[in-house]
Amino acid sequence: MNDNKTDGQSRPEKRLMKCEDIQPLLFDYMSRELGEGRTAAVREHIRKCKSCQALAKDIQATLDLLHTASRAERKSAEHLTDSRRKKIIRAFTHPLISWVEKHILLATVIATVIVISIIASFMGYLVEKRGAPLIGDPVTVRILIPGQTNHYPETNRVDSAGR
Amino acid sequence: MEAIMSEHEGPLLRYAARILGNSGMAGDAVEEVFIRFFRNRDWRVDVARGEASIWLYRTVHEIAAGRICSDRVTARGVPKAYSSQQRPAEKAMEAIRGLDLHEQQVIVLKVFEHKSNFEISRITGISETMVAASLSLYIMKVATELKKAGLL
Repeated sequence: MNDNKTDGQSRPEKRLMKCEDIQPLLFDYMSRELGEGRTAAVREHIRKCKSCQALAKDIQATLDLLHTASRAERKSAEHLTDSRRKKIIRAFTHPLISWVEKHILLATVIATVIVISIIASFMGYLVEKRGAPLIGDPVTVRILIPGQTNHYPETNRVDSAGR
Repeated sequence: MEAIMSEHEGPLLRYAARILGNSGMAGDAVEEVFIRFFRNRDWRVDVARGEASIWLYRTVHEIAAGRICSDRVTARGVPKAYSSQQRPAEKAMEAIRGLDLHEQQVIVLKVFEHKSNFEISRITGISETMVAASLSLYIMKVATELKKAGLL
């Protein structure tokens, strides 16, 4: 009776008397998390309805079992291992090293590609340097005319400047 | 950083172990969630707002769900056969592992982590009213499984 005065929600909640309205509230009712008005409505319904009464009983029994399981699990203290903690801190302080450690295969492939391309470009540079004439080196120019011997006097030699 | 880890590691490890059913994989998931938290987020703001816990739970669940989808670490949707030696509490846990991932998430957060409906709503992204209704529905599912096992 006192509920009607203290809880503004109590009057509309009194109308929630169907099982399908009550059942979604059962968990909160069993956990005592419902407002006073709703609690009164659910209590009233359960008192009269046998099937909801049985459901409430099942929910309570299930919750008791789960709480027992929860207590049993809590006995085993759980902490991250030191190596995991160090890994987490390293990931924050040295993100690149951490990434390489995590993606070691990909990092190896990328490193290999970089090394190969550096070596290839260096080799290319060396080949180019060896094949091309150096500036200032003398260059021999041969003019081939049909019917003439293959003898050329030393005067045909000119340097790279064309002299 | 050490303080944040010390505060949240226990609950997160237990949560991940319950979802994954494997403590080694739970350690991997929690390690990854902390790395993501410290590296990618403006975590100091979250800590100041008191939202670190919500972000950590949400992310560890995503990581665990990803692992389950890729590795199929446990048989989902089909509760394992109950052996006669199993204690009732273990059977209850097994019945929970038979639920969908979302259902497990809601039940574990409520029953084992003692989160409020508001916190569960923030973590899961569903409304508070839906959380309350879902809890009743999912716990009834567990009760049905336990009845089948002759525990209720």
